Amino acid sequence: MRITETKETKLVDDEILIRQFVGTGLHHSAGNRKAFTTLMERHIKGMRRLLFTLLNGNMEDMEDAEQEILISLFNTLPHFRFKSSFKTYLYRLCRNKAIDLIRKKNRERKILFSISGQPSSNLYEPEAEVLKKERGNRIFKLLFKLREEERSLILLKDVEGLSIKEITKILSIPEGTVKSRLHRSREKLAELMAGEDI
Amino acid sequence: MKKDCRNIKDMIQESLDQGAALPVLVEEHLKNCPACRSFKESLEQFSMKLKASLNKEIETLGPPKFSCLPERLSERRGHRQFLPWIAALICFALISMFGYRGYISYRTKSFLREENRLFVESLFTQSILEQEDSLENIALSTTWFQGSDTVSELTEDFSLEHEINL
Repeated sequence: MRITETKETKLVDDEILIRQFVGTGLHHSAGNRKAFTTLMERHIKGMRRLLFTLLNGNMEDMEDAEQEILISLFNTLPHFRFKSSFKTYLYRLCRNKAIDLIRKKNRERKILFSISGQPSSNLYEPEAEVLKKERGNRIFKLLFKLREEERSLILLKDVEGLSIKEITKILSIPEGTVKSRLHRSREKLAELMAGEDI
Repeated sequence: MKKDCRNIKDMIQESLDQGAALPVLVEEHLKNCPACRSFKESLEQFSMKLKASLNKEIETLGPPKFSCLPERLSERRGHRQFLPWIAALICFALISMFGYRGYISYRTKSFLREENRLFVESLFTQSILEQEDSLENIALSTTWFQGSDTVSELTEDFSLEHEINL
């Protein structure tokens, strides 16, 4: 009961902050900027956790994506219609930006490989970034063995604690599909974990 | 037993999805099934450890750079704010180019039309004069056959028709 209340209060607060930010239409005023900063400080951790998961822990890409997301929010928040929660909207934006960045990097890599004449490979190969950066956390190694969607599902449900309905909105897939894919992802993860000592 | 485990795993996942407590049936099964117990524990541990590890990693990033956001925004807008002007300029250049070409073409055509008119007129006058000669010859030849009165009649008709003083 207490959790629900906190969630609702947070939701209302998000709405108030967005309205304060959008307010007069002058987003550059100090008061409006403060509302934006408060709103983002509230969600920045979750946003970063999602970006880290999607971008294989590549910090440079994370920072780029984060800036892109903040700029995009700054521009698009005045058009936010409150049909979903801000968190859902933010996570959806994060996922889209991360996917765009991965595609862009892969395209650049393909061009580089085609010039050098070497066979191309996927930039965001599982484990590649973790091993390269010597941040060999076993949990991340396991996580990055999963596909992007499987990772998103596990993170959004089991780490961020979002409801199935919210995940449905973020991933734009039906509720039943979210459930079945989430179950399959967990089973795959459990299988991977069976051989590891975590 | 395997089918039971399958169902139990689904039920464990259902309760995880809903954030609800495990049913008594599942609790009972878990007491006697190490595989299902391990499945449940591994999922729970994974989400907890993943959250802790992720928090540890993102702490290294430092606070978000909100302060430079308006500058970056205006920087980006700076590139874009000239786009409508550039588009308008291109449109104006294209319209001017085609308009000038059309005007030149119209002027040339009217000039040529005038030139042609004069040329045709001169040709016509020349042909009339030639025709006049031939008509005069015809008239003369016909007079030789029909009598002297015909010459004056034909010449008069021709000069009246073409308003030429012969």
